[in-house]
Amino acid sequence: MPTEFTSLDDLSIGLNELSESGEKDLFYSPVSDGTTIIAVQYDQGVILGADSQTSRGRQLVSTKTRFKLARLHERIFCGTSGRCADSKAVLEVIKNRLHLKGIIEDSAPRVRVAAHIASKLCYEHRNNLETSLIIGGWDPVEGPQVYAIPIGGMMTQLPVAAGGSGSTYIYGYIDSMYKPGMSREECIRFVSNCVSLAMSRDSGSGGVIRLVAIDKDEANRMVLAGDEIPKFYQG
Amino acid sequence: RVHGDCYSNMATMTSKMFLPAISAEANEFSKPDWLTEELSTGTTIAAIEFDGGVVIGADSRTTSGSYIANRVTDKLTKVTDYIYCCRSGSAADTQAVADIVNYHLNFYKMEHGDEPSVRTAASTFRNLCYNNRDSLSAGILVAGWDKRNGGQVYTVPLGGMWTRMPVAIGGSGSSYLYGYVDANYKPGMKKDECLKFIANAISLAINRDGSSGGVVRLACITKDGVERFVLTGDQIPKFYEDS
Repeated sequence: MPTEFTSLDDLSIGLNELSESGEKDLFYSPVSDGTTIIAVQYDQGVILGADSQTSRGRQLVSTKTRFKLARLHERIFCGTSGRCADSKAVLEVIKNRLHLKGIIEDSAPRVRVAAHIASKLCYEHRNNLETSLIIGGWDPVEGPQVYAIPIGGMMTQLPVAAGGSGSTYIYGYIDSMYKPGMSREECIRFVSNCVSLAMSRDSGSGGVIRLVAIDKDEANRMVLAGDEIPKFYQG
Repeated sequence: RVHGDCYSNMATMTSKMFLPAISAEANEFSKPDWLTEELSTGTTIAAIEFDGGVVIGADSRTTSGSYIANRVTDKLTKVTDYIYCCRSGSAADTQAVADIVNYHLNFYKMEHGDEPSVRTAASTFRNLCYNNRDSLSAGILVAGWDKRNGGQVYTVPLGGMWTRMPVAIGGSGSSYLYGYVDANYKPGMKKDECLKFIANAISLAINRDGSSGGVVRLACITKDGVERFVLTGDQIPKFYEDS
């Protein structure tokens, strides 16, 4: 029973099934996350950010308020991009395996373990999957960590990782603005700026900005909508 | 001046003389990509207006598939004393178009006895790019100074549309710059700020785009003419680089 996703997502799955006819129209393209996801690590925690739009081949926006930052565990969240169906399938499996590992080891699972499970899964099925993940979280052993798992299943730990179609437009901004040692507020502003810039240039990203701020005390979900989204030079 | 033709001639000559005797039927599929790919200035170019002129910049890499045919290309091409164009796309197409525009503008200057306006130059580029849009692969930024309207930047992307913009970027590396430009551009910047902005932009794109690289070439065009700069090695702006 999906608990993380709104009913609008179930609707989009239904439409996807209807579109198996293969005619060349809007409904032919699989539901895909034209997306922007980004995660930044700072001293005490991790900030994850994402847009909220799902589209079908860039012509039809099928969902405007999707929640792309899925919860794998209390302090571990995962942003996904690529084909929607693949992302959801992979997330369910990772959640299950992580939960099992937590029970077997009788302690909260580590972020590195979650990332390893994800990358092993993505690598084993690399010929069939088209999804890339960014896992961010906090654990008592290693503190805050961000792992990027692009298509193909490679896993790499980075201080800042961006993914999805919208991420190409903000690499220059990320490279120029990121410096180690930023505070929580600076990171939140950095992540919201990044997502907002990407949303204004990428047709596959849009809607609202969803943020998750994870540290040792809490995993706080936030939304920036409408006027709250940072504005830049519009030319 | 380097012609794209010169390199493809050399490549053909080389392949005829030194083709390895591994296969009797050497066809297009068995040759490496740097012998068969068209030369492309897969590139980063940028241009910005300020009060009194324009600043333009480009990287310096020309590729033929994955081979870097020229690592010190000059993509900032003069069309008149006060108007330059930044070339991206096929090296041959953009050189040919720039040559023809140069000819037209020289003729214009002789006929009218006065420097052509940047708008005229951009319009000439547009006419060529639009009328031949099916056979050309050229994305061009036209930038310069004229006494009527000061510094102006026009973009003439693939397909041949044209529009004036206060700041314009182009080429394969430009995708990575949209966020940076949107966040950092503000109207009313001075010449030094513009030079820094363009140098930063080109170097950020070089870091991310495989088809851009080499040195950063800059030019500043004002009523006093053109001032050219090259940033090499350590002079190229640095940003936080992951270990």
